[in-house]
Amino acid sequence: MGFQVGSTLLDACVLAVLSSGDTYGYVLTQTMRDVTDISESTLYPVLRRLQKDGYLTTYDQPFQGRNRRYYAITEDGKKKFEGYQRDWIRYKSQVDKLLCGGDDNE
Amino acid sequence: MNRSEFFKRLEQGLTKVSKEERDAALDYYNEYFDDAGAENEQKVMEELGSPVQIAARIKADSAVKRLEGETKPSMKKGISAVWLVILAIFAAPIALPLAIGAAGLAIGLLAALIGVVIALVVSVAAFFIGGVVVIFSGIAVIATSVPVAIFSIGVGLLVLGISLLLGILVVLAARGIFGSIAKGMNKQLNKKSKGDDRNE
Repeated sequence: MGFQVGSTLLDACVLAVLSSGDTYGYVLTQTMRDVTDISESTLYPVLRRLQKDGYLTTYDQPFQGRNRRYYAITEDGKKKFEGYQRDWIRYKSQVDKLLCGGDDNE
Repeated sequence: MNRSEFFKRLEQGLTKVSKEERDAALDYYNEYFDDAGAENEQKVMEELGSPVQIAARIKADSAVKRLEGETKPSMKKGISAVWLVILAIFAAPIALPLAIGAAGLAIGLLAALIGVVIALVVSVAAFFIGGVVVIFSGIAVIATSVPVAIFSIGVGLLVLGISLLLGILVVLAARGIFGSIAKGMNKQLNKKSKGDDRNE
C-alpha cells in the first residue's frame, strides 16, 4: 500500500478488530498485516498504550500448558471506536471527492 | 541469533524500565514466538527486527507515558525522557547518516536548552543575592542615616520579591519545555519508524 498508516488510524484499526471479538497478539498482528504494512514490533507499543488509556483490557487463558493473553475492547474503547468510525467516514468522503472527482461515483 | 539470544538482548535492553513493564513486554514476545510456532522462529525474528530497537522504543514510550501521568513532572525526569527518545532515534532503522544527523541536532538543541536554563537560574540567583546584600547594607547604615537604611531595605526586599517570582517562572517553564520536547520527539519517532516499515 502506498499510503502511510498514521498512529490514529492504527489505533482505530486495532479497536475495529477487537470490536468484532477478543483475540490474542499473534492473530491480531496477522489480521492487521493483511490490511496494513505495519511490522510486528510496531503493534506492541500500540496495544500497551491503548491498554493504559483504558480502551482495552487483557485476560489470560490457558492454552497447551501455557497462558495466552487475550485482548478485549472496553466500553470506553467502544465509544472511542465509534468516534473514529464517524471521523473516518467524514474523512473518507472528503478524500474521495478530491481523488476520485465529485460524489457521483458512489 | 536464536530465540534465547533474542530474549537475552531484549531483557538486557529493558533493565531500566519497571519490572511490570519489562515482564509485560517479555510475555508478549514470548507468546508471539509460541503462537508463530518453532518452525517460524527465524522468520519471526526477521520480521520483529532488532531486540535492541524494540527495547529502545519501549523505554522511550514508557518514559514519556510516565511524564504524562504526572501532574508535576520534574525537570530531571523530563531531561531523562528526552535522552531516552534520543537513544531510540539511534536504534531506529533509518539510514545511519540521517539518524546521526537527527540525534546530533536533538542533542545540540537539548544542550542549548539546558544551557539557557542554567543561565536563567544563575541570573535569578544573582538577583536574589543582590537583594540580600542591599538589605544588609541598609541594616548596616541604620545608625548613621535612618532614611537611607529604610530606602535600601525597601529596594532590597523589592529585588528579593522579583527574583523569587522570576525563579518560580523559570522552573515552571523549564519543566514544561522538557516534558513537551520529549513528547513531541517521541511522536516524530513513531511516525518515522512507521514510515520506514512501509518502505521496506
